[in-house]
Amino acid sequence: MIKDALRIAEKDLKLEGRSKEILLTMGFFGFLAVLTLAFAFRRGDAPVASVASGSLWVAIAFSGTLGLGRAFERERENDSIRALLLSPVPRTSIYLGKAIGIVTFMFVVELVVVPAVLLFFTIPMGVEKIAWLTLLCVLGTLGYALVGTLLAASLIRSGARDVLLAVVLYPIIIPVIIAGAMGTNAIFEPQIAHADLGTWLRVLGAFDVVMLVTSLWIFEALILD
Amino acid sequence: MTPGAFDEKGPLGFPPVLAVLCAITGLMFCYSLHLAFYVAPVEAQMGFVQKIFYFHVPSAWVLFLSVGVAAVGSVGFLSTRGAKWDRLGNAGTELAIVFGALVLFSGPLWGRKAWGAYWVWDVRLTSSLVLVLTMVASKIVRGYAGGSAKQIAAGLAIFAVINSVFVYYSVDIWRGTHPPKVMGDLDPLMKKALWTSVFTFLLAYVCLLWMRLRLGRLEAAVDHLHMQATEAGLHD
Repeated sequence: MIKDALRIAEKDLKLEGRSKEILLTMGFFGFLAVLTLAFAFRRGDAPVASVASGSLWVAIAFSGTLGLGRAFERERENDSIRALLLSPVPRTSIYLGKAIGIVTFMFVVELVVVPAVLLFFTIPMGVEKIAWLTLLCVLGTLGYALVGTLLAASLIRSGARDVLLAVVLYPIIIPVIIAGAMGTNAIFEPQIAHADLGTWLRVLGAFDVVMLVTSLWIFEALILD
Repeated sequence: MTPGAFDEKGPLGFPPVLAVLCAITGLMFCYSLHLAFYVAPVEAQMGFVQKIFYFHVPSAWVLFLSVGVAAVGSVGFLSTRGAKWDRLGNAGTELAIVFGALVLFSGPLWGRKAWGAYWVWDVRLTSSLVLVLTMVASKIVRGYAGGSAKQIAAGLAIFAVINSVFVYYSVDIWRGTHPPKVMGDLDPLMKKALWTSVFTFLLAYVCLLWMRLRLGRLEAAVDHLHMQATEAGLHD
């Protein structure tokens, strides 16, 4: 099952490697989102540093939604989703393969978004902080992508899928936003954080595991033949 | 399709047991109101405003019950694809939104008087808000998602139940030591008023659920008749 999933992911990544359409649009949008938030939250001549952690996760969430929509639109356009479903590959491999692709896209975009936040909100960083931030982003992105892939795949044949994806995804990933933003807060401003980073990392880890299991369990039932 | 859907006994096809149950529920509401306002003592700290408690708490419990019903319907539908499970899931979702609206309306009203602000990010209110939002999303999906709408809505209901645990826990950690839990030991008369209220709301829920399920069955029967009429060439 894992081999099939990796093969499907490889297909997506190869396609994207040639056209770079999703990465460029997602990345640019993520950067613009951070910039917009930096303009929106100003006090005096600089953005308020305390909203940096929230802004990071809002930018990740919004560009993630774009990427999810575009990735599955591509499958729909070529009707390759039908080919995938007809192939002898188990459905859960399709889910995992698409999820791996989405996670990879989001990581690449975060390589743009995170430095943008650090730059525009003037956050001082050290090597250790960057390492913790990387771990937090990995866990948060995994949770977001696992749920997002399931919901985007189930909406693939729906009419209003773009707006419906946002409508159904955002309530479910609220724990990722809370834990991600609070965890980032603990890294950026440890002196005023409510709880330590370890707690939030554990919340994200638990969320990832539970959502992976749930998604694997119901993916088959949700995909229309 | 059962032809019996339209043949229920009673003057307008309304089940007599349900009619009796509704009547009893109406009387129970009067009794609950009496207990809440005239029998239960006024609370020492919060005064008269505390009486929202007798509506807010049962509404919240019925909200969680309804989400559970929606989840059961969803699991049943995803396992068997039976229409009656989907109807149960739909009914549960709608009633969760109704009682959720009651909770989210009465909660801030109480909060304004008790804590000074309409919204103070209380753990339970916040996680209830996310839960109700997910139920609303499920309802929106049923309306606009086309072919696979029922499956997606069912999946969402299951996610809602699992997610509510994470949201509750996350907000709890985030809020740290803010203690909005105001209920200590209850006076016996207050307990009586509360449990009567809970029982009344449960009765009301059963009535509403039964009515909604009946409505769902009738809608399915009408759809079936439409299809048969079209096939027989009776429609334009």
